[in-house]
Amino acid sequence: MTDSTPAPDSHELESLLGAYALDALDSADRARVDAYLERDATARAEVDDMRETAASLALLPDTPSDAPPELWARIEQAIGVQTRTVRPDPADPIDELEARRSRRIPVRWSATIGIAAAAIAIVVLAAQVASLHSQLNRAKSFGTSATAAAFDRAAKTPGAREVGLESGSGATLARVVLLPDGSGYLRGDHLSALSPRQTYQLWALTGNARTPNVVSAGLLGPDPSAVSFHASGPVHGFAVTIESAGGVVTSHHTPIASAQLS
Amino acid sequence: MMSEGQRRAADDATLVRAVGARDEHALAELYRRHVGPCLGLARRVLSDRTLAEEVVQEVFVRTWREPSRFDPTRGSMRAFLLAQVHGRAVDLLRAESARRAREEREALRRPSVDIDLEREVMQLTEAETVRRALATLSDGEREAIELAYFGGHTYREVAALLEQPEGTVKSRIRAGLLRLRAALIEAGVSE
Repeated sequence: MTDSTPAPDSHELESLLGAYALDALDSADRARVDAYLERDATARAEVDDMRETAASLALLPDTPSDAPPELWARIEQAIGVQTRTVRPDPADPIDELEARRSRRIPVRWSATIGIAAAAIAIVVLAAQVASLHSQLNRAKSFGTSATAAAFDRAAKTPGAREVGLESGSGATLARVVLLPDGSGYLRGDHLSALSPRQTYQLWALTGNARTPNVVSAGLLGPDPSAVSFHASGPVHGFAVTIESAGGVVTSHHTPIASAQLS
Repeated sequence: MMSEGQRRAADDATLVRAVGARDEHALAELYRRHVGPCLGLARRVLSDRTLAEEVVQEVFVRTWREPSRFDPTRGSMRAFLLAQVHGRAVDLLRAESARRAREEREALRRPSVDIDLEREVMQLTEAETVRRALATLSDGEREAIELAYFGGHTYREVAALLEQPEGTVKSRIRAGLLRLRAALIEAGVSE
């Protein structure tokens, strides 16, 4: 409902509506406009119209729009959890996002290893580069039944460490078992199939936990059910990225899943 | 529960009601229709693919949880989703760490979700219309709007960046949006 008598500062508040619609106000101004909108339907309508207009800007062609298939898979997993879990007082999504990010094992390289995130180069030492291809070749696919048996056997081996690699939404996309001799097994039952031009690549975090070396532990292929691999040195975590078929020596992609070994 | 054909033919408001009835396929259809612009906007604001996907995921999961938040009398579903995506992306961007990371980077049957070629073509056509509409704005209006919307800056920051008075930038943003809206209505893109 619109007040018959404008508040003294209504003109100034009206002038902020455009910036408000674009989320371009600081928190103090935003709170003032929120209160103004509560009492002024005309202003609310103007903001709605402006947001509709702003939405059109998102259609501009230099805004990329290809959604990876695993995004829907993650949403589906998330709402599957929701339907099984009663949450009478859902947290604000951003708060939840931040909280989840802080409590889960971080997926982004930066959060995991304290260095700049998405576009940073994964450090691979020269000597490790030389051995990359042999490392990549160590990732071998098993037949389904043999895989299950090998993975299960490894998990029961004394000294084995098993961990789930979690996505940004907290979903476990793959599980890894690492044996004391560096032999490892990965089951990727929840990794979505990629196009034949892509592959999942497994990375091992070794050395110092704060400034680790990130070493390729093998290519997993576009639709991995299970693979074996070998990781040298003291491994304290794993991550999975999506790369072009053939893999990379240095990844510029953020991991889709990661885990730290306890 | 609607058939696939019914879902494809349904308008967004109908799909949202179906989501309220816990029809996961209806959410998949909404996702199919709108994920492109949503993800594109989040990526453009955040310059971070992973963060952008997390934001988009949150928005769709929240739509599943609270479909009643969408009020069709207040605008389109696309505008509703994009407003949420933009707001969350900007909130994240304004966290100092995210902004720093962005600056560093810039220095350097389950429900199936198919590619919808027809929709993509339609969006490209709309995009061309939007671009033409943007061209009707003054340089100052266009610059201020783009810095605020895609750059995630507050209008005060935009004013500092452009070395213009805050009041001028504030006015340009509002006037530019109103002019843009009028141009889009004239072109038949908006109502």
